[in-house]
Amino acid sequence: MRTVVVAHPQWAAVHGTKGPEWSYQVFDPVVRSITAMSPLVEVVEPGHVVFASRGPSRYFGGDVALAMRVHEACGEHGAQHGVSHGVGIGDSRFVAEAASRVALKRRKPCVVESTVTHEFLGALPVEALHTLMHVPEDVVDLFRRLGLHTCAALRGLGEVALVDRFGAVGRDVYQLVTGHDVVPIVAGAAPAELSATVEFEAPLTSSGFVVATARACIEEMVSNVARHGLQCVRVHVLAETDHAEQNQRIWGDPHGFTAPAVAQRLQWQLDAWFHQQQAQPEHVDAPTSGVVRVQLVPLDCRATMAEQPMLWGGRHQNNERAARAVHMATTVHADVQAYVPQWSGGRDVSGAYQRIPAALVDLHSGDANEERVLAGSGVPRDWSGAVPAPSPTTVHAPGEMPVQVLDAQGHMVAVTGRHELTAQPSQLVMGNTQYRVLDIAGPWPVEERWWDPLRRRRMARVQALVRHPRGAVGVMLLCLENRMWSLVGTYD
Amino acid sequence: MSSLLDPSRTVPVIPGVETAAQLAARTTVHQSVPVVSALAPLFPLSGLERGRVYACAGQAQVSLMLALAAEATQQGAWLAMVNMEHIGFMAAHEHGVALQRTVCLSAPSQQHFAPVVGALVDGFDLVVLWSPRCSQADARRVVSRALASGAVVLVLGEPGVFPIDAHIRTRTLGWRFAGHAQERTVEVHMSGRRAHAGTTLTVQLPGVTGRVHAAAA
Repeated sequence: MRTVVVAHPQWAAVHGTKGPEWSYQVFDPVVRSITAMSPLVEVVEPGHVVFASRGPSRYFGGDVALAMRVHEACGEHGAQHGVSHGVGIGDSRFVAEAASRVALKRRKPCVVESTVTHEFLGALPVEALHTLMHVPEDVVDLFRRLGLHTCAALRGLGEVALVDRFGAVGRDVYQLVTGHDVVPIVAGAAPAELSATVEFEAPLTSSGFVVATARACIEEMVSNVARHGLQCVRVHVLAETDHAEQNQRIWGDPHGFTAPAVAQRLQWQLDAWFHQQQAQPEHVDAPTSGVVRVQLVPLDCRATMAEQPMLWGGRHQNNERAARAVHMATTVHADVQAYVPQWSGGRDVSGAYQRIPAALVDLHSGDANEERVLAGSGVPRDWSGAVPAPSPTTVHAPGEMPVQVLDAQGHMVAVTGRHELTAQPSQLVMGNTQYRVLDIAGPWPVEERWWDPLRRRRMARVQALVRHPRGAVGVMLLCLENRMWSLVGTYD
Repeated sequence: MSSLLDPSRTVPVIPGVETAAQLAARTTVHQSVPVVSALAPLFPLSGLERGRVYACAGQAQVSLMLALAAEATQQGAWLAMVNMEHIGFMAAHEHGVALQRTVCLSAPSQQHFAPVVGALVDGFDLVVLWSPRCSQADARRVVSRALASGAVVLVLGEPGVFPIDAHIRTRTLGWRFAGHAQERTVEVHMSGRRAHAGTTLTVQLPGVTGRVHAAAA
């Protein structure tokens, strides 16, 4: 089927460092400008959109006219972000993908007519099968070592030889190099037993509520697919309002969808839709009511066998086991909470890593896990004014553990406007225990958002070397805020 | 005929589920979980033995736990911490713990503690418990499950009735405090059924780099 591909190959490099959430949010205006031309598009990942050309092409007067239109619509957004893009149209998804990369180089859309598909495909290097269509790298590597450098050479081998040597992968490769689709871009009637639908009694107007309420439905869809020994790599997500307005999108994930990953896509889709309601309420596609129905249809599934642990090493298997154990543990009772750290930066020792619920992240994906805890380009790793390392092993929020810091005369020690201690602290009282202060370091002052009367904070941190009445020596990190000292960290 | 006996052909692969043969291979080939070289002299196998319960105690127990978990998590192991709401993630990062493979859980009720920990030892290589509160029977069940799946359990705080294979006690010998807290000298003492009898080690925990160091002689 003739397919249109819009690719921004550098999107991930430019925006991906701040996490998939941000990357998608920035990309959403591009998707919306394309859905104005074709209602059903597949978002493979931020920066990469695929849709069928048939309907829109007829409407706009041919493939070339459509390609120009899409190119211009995306150009406005792309220029803002400094990311170049390519629009390609071809007889199959593979042809269109390759054409979009050609378009990227030429800086104008590339339409591959049906008459030249054969020559166009034949000239492509075999590496394109891996980079564009996710054919396993070792298979492509083997082609190269066998002296098969172009798709024409593969086509010359014939289907029988390819299937004989490479099995199902060989058949897919032959389909690709002869200009056929392995999976249809938009499937016809979906297998009803795999899809899942949820209807809400009252219209929900917040994407968070919808996702939370649809969670059972999402898990049902994923387990329906898993029951057949399959995993879903493309899913059609449809949301419908009380007034029968529909918003639909196809989402892809080459690693296979897990329930949290589907929940995340549903959240992105609804956020974009509700955002339109606020930004352009008079727009045709803007919803006028809350969501009452969510339907999830898996479009493209593949055998779970494809993720054989022997091929991918033990690390991947570890992620699966851990994610499964967390799921089992949290289903014991609603009181049991699982959370994971996420880097958020800042000078506050307890706030440098945020705790986010494990249900909202995809623990299977090693890359996503790594991205979560590393400092993105948005939040620097080093903050001036932070207490120097080593950091306390036990942390408390300021104000949670009040203490008294007293000087030799028993008066409270304070910090002046010039960030100096008013007196040398000599003892520290916490509950009924009195610690003797042996040495003191700091203060490290923090003045945050002084321009904002509601959110501004002014505090000073002090590190104290103390002796317990029973003789043990320890270090405590103390914080003075609103004339109240509290313990914010211990090194145990 | 041989294809029928090949387990990879007859058993479908379900993510996160292993066949008995795979489980046995994983637990027997790697009998221990690696630890940093500074702490390796404490252990007969130079690492934490799979299926064992270790208790960390004393004034540097949390730092010790982080130092023990660092090497394994760097190599791909997963770490679960139960009821450690106040753990300093920044310190964990400085000790070298791979936070991308760290999950924290809170099980506030005593009644849910054992089922939660039981589920965790099935999927995690390292499970840290803060003051476990459960019955002796539940504790034994958790321990036998850890033994079967090859998880290492580290108990901090009050072990209660939890059966402990080895106790690792820490004692602060001193802090170097110049401008701010810089490094701490800690004496680590290992005792119990699964240990070199009474091994004692002096380390910088944390050292100047934030990680554990062997103390200069």
